[in-house]
Amino acid sequence: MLPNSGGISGTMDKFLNDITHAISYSLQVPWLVSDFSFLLVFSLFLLIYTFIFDKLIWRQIFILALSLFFYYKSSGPFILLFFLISTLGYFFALLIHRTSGIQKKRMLRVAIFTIAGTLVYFKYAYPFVINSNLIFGTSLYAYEWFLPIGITFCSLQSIGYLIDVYRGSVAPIREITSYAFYMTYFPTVFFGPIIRTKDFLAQFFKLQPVNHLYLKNGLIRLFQGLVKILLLASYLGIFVNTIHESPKDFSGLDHLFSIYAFSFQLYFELSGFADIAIGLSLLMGIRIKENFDRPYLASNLSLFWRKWFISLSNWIRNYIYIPIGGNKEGGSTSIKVLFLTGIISSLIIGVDFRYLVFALIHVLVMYVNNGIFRKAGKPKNTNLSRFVKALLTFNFVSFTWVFIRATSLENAFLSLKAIFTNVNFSNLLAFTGEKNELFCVLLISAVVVFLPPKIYRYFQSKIIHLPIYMWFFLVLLLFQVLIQLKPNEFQMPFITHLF
Amino acid sequence: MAKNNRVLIFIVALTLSSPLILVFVYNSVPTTICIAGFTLKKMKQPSTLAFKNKFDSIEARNPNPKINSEKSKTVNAIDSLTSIKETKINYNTTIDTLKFEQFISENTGERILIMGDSECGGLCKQLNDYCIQNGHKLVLSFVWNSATILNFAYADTVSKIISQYKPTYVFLVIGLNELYAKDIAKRKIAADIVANKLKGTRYAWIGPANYVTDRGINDVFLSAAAQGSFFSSKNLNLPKGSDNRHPSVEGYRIWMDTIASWVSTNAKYPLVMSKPIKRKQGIKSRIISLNASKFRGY
Repeated sequence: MLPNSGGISGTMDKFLNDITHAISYSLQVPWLVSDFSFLLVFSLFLLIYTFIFDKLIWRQIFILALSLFFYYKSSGPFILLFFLISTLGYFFALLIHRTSGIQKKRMLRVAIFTIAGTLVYFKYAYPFVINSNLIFGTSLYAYEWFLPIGITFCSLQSIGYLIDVYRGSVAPIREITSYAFYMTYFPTVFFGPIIRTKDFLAQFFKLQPVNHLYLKNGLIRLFQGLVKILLLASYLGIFVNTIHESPKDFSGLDHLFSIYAFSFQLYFELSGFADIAIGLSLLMGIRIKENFDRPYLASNLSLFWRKWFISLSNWIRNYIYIPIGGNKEGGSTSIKVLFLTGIISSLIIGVDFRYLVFALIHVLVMYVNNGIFRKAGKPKNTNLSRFVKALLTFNFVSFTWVFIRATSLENAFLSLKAIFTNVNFSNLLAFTGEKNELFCVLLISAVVVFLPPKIYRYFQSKIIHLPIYMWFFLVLLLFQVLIQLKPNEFQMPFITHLF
Repeated sequence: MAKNNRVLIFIVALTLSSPLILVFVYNSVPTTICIAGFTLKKMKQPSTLAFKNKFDSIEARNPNPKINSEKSKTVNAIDSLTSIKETKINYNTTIDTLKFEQFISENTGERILIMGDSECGGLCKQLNDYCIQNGHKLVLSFVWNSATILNFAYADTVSKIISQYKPTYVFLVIGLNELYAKDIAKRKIAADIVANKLKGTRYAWIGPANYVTDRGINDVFLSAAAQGSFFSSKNLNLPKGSDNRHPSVEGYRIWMDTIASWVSTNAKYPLVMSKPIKRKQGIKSRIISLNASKFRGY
């Protein structure tokens, strides 16, 4: 790997080294769909996939094989944990379907308890013990397990499927390959979207037509995701990490910029992975639902959560909020249900007071917001009022994200305190001059986030109608641009720590 | 329809795979392409990346183990955004490749043992991440809660552990429980005994991360340890844990980063300690946890 190891033997050694690297797993650096090595494997996979595209069973098995390899590369032996959760889901669904009445309900409870229990043990036992030791001064012990990325989504998807089977809205999947395929579908497995059986599996029992616009759109979504993750989120992440590594050392202005930088970073990472998932699926002739709908343009908090990580918001609404009471009864019951939903939602991210504070603040503001609307009636929306509301919502959300990003609750409050007490706007010009690269990235990020959909669609239509031979050069150019511009400092996307 | 679908997907697969193959081939060959004075960069494989990080870590680290000031942090952030420029300086002009290779080959793959008081319990998790990143093996974390230098000096525990686990590098983290100690002369004798026990082993003696001013224990350790092998932590401004006595998890991380920076640059016994890419990886090696209030050891 040394720079001077030239010649044919050097190239051969490097090639063999790369091959060894390609087939071995790494728990330290998981294989993500945004890795070039993954994209190479996927593109070669796609070439073979062409020949079995119309053979429905083989198609499933082939995608399943790639999904399992993908898991193995990122989780090594911990792939067994996925097997465990998937197998439990498969058998419990069959059992739930067979039983009826009170037994059916009991079976569902046991199933949820078992799957959630497995997740709770692996994901939450250690932080729970650490936190309780700190708070209560106990000296409990828990083993800190390696946690495979995506285990949260795998569990949520499994629980959602079991509830759907219980409700009778879907029939249990009897073919083990189909079930395994659904549970391990590689584009969505790490960072969503959470897919529902009825939306997803139907496509595999009937061949879906594809056309060149559809496939080109897949490539566009793929590159859209890569640009968001490898360029924008990475640069913003470097700045955000520097601030949060030692928040005491930075001024209020630094913290203020880091608030917006993280807001964009989180959006780019989550929506970038969703773009890649949608793009890869389109290239395989599979349609999956959108996961983000320009959330930072939402004019209130409830609307924001309907546009942000739609599949997770829907999951929480369908499987937590509505079953525990929803907002049917109004008044005090509604606030209790909202708070309970908030607490459970915060636990999905992890056991930490920061997440709890974040969820409770959002729940409280949503409750107050909805109450005001209920009393005053829905106000007329002018362009100006929509703009002001969107601006307020964006700022509120961005400021509260600090509880997700800060390394402790104390540091989150420290950041907020610095912003509200230690910002000197007279230094703004000097600050932007000193950090002009960051300022440029923030500006580009704002344009990407707030770009009106019309303009986006205009550019998309221009690109999509380019002749196919031009696409080869376009793809080559885009890959090289990503290599040229992506930061040298490697860092894992922040969301890998959350899910 | 099916045939038409297949042809379309095949064309798109080719459109995606052929540029990627070109990118990978370009990455494998030693030649670098320049177009009108503009160099086409190659993507980095993880191994190459780790190599480069080690490069950076030797040359670019701050020799002062104190936590960076606001100004230097700002500079770091800006530099990381202009990393192309920075890489050129580090990679091409200031590093002697042969020296670097020698350093790497001599200092990777160590058997590391960490021992000490309760602060060792927090630090060992951070050290574990460094060990995984740098190819070292953390053979044992020996946490002796509430222990002082007296325990380590007059118990045979240290010698026994060293002979059993055969570490090639030892981190000793001690001193938190004797910040107020007035019997300095007694502690000096004990510290000399510990230093004597460590003779023949490469070690780093880490002073306590004290949030109060000590009564001379740091000076005792400094004089007892071999020159350049004691790291004073007393001036560090680390985030406090909830007990206001130990660092928080974040504090331990910053502390370990600072120690790692010192160990790989200024320590008498240097060690390759590049920043880990992934944190909070579980410790798979053994952890022995004792309490000096129950077991004094002597």
